[in-house]
Amino acid sequence: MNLKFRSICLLSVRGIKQFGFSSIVASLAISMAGGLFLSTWKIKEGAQNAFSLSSGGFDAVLGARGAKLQLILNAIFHLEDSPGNLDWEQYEIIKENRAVKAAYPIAVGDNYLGYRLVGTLSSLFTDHEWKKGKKYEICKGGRIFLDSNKEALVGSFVATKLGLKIGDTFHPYHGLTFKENSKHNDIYKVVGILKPTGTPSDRVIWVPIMGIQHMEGHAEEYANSVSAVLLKLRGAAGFGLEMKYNKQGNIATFAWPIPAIVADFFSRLTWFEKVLQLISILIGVMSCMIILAVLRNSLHERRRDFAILRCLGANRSFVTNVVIGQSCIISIFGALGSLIIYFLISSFAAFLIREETGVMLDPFAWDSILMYSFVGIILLGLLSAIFPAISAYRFEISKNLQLNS
Amino acid sequence: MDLLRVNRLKKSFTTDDGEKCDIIDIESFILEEAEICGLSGESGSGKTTFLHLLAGILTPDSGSIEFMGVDTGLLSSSERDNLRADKIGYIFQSFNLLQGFTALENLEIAMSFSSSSEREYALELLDKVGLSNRLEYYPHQLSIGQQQRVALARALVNKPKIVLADEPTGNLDSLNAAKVFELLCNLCTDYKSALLMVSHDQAVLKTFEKKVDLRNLNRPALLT
Repeated sequence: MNLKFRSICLLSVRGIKQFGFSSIVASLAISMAGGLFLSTWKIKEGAQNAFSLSSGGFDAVLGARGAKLQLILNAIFHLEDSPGNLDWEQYEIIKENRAVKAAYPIAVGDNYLGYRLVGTLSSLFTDHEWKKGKKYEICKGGRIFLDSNKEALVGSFVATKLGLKIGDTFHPYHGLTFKENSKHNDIYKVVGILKPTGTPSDRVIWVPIMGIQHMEGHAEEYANSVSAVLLKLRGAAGFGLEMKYNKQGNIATFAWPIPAIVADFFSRLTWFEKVLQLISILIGVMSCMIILAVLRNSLHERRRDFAILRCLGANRSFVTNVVIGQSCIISIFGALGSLIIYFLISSFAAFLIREETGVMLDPFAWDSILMYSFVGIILLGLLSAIFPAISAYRFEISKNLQLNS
Repeated sequence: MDLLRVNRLKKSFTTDDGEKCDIIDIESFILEEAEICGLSGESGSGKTTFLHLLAGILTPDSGSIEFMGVDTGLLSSSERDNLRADKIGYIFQSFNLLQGFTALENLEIAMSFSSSSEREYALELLDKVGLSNRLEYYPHQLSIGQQQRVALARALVNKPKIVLADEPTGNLDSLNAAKVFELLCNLCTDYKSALLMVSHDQAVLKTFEKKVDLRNLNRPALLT
């Protein structure tokens, strides 16, 4: 190793050791700021992407008159209450529309131990691609339910959580939330477990739509209605349907395009994101000030050392590099810490989102923002070191040499 | 050949009371290459200031210091740094070793300012001052005499043209002082470095062929 570089490293490390506690605090503050900034940025972006990609292969949803977002959250993400029901006839009409490539009715309103039952047609599992080129797959030994039977196909997440196996039977409960006293008398038999898809489908129990429609205890109008119709469109046919249902009609709501509505939903959370980012920026500024204070204190304590170095011939670049090196070490540890904090926060967030929605986030997915933030943090640290680095060379050698060791 | 030539050198300080205090006013001083010279003077007479001026640590108010024919007053700060690194070795009364660094590291750090030195040379020097078995010792693990020997080796590590020694034996007992002084003179002779050494010790000063009293160098006005 080059002797000069080695000496700079030795002196920088010595400075860190001398102010170990302050240096650790500075690194931690940088880690917190960087980690928080990265987390808010990445989780929001990751969640938005994941939600947009988790549309289950559908382009649009037709449902009762109401908010598009609620319709999508209910029909695609199996969250929120249903905005109401549509007549079965509406399903028949839209299914025949030339703009529609495929239509699958769904009916909701029941649950089993908190996990919702979604009634649909078996063709959803035989014909539909939930992701381009990917159809639903069933774990070994299972099969798709028959439309006329009281059978259930259980999402992988539910199967794991509730320990449901093929051959198990259960009584559904009325409503979307579990209430012990709302048990239906109908008995459903598990005939298959879906392989994981990383989409909200994993969090539901799929049953024949007729089962929900004719469930014991349901009102009669349920028998001839659907909660929503999931649609696969031909090309950009959504414009015509948007006009027909949303502008000219008043029976149903046509929610399209799904990614744009999801994005709109996330844009409403911008204020929250901005607050978190503001906090992280404030912590970042505070970290810079801590670095500045650490370096200033360190320089003050070591001004005799710097005077000795100057006396021995240390030039401006050497002295400056020692101070910058010290800041660089603090910043590198801070940047590494920020990645660790980011991975911890985002892993926890991914776990929560998966638990609550079934949508999978990959906190370890590579994103150039990770690199930019790493480099940015180090640059910020270096920026904080400029002033102390300049002042280190300006110490009065003669005066500081006379200080007691 | 002249290594160092001082002409009409003046330096003054402003005291805390705001008074201007002339401390150096030297008409002429010359040091030849490889010459060994003792410098004496009363406390506060400006010996350290004179060495600092010669080393380029302080800049004179007026006058010139020519080092190997170059007026150091015309050099930039960076050029003076390089001059100190390559051509001047400095020894302090209080050693001024960098605490937290081993004996060898103290030399290596000093070497890193110069382009010409080699690590082996540092080892050789530490061997010559009798510390080859103390390379990895920190200053606090060394005796006072050993610390000064490290400082001595450090001053010579960049093969300087001149060693400026500011009372290097001042903190040592007479036995160690004699040893360090002898070692310093021998090393400077071996490496053909000039030596300008400040000392109060009359016994030490007696051994110098050339010795100068700062009182005689300074103009009479300062002595009143």
